[in-house]
Amino acid sequence: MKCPEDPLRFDGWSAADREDHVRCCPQCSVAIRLRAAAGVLPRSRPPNRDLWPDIAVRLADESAAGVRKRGYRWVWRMAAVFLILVLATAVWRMQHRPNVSWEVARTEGVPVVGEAPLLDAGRLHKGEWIETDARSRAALIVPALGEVDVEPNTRVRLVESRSQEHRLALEEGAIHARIWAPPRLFYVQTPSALAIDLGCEYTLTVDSTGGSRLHVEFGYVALEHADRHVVVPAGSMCLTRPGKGPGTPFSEHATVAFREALVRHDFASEPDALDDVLARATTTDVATLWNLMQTVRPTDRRRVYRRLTTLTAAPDGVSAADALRLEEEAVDAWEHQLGLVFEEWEY
Amino acid sequence: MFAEPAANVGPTEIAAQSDNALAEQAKAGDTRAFEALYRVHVDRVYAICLRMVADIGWAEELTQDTFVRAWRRLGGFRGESAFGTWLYRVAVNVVLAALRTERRRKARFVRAELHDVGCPAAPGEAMDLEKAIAALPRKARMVFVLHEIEGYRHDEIARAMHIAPGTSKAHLFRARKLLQQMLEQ
Repeated sequence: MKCPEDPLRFDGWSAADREDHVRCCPQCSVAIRLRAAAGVLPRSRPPNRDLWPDIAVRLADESAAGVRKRGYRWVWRMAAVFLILVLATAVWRMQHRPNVSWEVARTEGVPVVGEAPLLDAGRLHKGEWIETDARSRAALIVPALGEVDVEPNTRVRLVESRSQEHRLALEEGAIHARIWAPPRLFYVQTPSALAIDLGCEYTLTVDSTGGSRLHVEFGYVALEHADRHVVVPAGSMCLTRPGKGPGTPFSEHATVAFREALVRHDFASEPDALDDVLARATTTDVATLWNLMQTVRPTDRRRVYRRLTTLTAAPDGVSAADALRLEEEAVDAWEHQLGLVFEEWEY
Repeated sequence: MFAEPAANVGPTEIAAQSDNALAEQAKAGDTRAFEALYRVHVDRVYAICLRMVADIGWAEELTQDTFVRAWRRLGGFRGESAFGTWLYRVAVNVVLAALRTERRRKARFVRAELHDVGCPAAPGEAMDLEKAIAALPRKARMVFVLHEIEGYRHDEIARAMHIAPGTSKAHLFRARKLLQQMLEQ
């Protein structure tokens, strides 16, 4: 059985299954051990000095300022109430706007929406599938969100469409999405991962095994599965596998040999695959090597770093020791240099 | 979520009632009542701040900020939860707001040495874990402390930190990996 999302919540598992799983799963056993250790840490600690005198001075200042301001307070309160009413009305209208179907247009051939052939244009309702055969294509359009081309031999379902979430399920085939909505409004679930739009244009393909390939042309896309989370920037690709989630993102210009070695490392866990990845890496693959730095075993990290720094110079002022310890500032500097920083991670 | 006060009558509830009575007096402007609340809760607030920022001087500032903000917002405390529950949430929000606006603080202030940051005076694994938590990258540390020690859920952390729940999970995953490595060294 695959790991539960929260290692202490084995909902629906039998005690025996749980024990077997924890015994064999390093991830769950570490999480449980850490939580137990964290649970007994002391909840209180006195500060080294009495902080009250400083607080009392600040409270006295606050009180004096409050007396001065009190005369105008009602004006601000009225203005705030008015503003809140206006905003609440606007939000209510947006959330209750009926929008449970998407516009769909035939591009080529005769796609099928629900049970009916699509001859020109129509609506794809929540819960309905759209299917294309080898000779048909279609386009899904949501004015405030973006457009999604449904390529031949594809099966897609509209799972959700509301102001905070628009979600498709791509069972098989390919879609090409151009999204101009704010990040994290458009999701595509596949059998092996969830693709989350972070403001981008991308192509997502799902094969008959449930594995997928993401190719980001503009912006960023996040891929998630259980505890695995990767951000794939423009010009990069990423593969996913059922039960394993996303692998390591790689450049669209990476060589076939490098990609094959990466697949063996990410999904087959072959012991010598990392050697192949490092041997076949070129300057195109520095971002991939940086990502590997953070996922390989600590004992392998130095090898990856050595290869990385033969292909590109370390950022100014960032030592090898800091990078190998994955110090936050070293990680930030490397990721800025490699263009891997999506703004949301900075907050 | 923080633990709610026990429903049956006991020391916890008595303490909570006492807190709430003091809070009512403080609402009316009684700073002595507020000082009494400070005396009861300062150790817990300071521990939260220290774990989240891993910097003694900064934790002291944030503890002060927490009580000043709580004083300002006492009008919003309606006694529906224990005063402590409400206050600790104020503390977490104060720390998160400070971290958002002072991202590069570490460049300007000397970070406390790890042996100074370790909270408990207990031997063994607890001390090691405390040091390791303090040594985590900031975002990973925040998520680990909030999720594993303070008991927040990922959706609550995500809202408070202005990140997605998936990002919170990713930080927790990273924190666990790094802690495992540090504790095995």
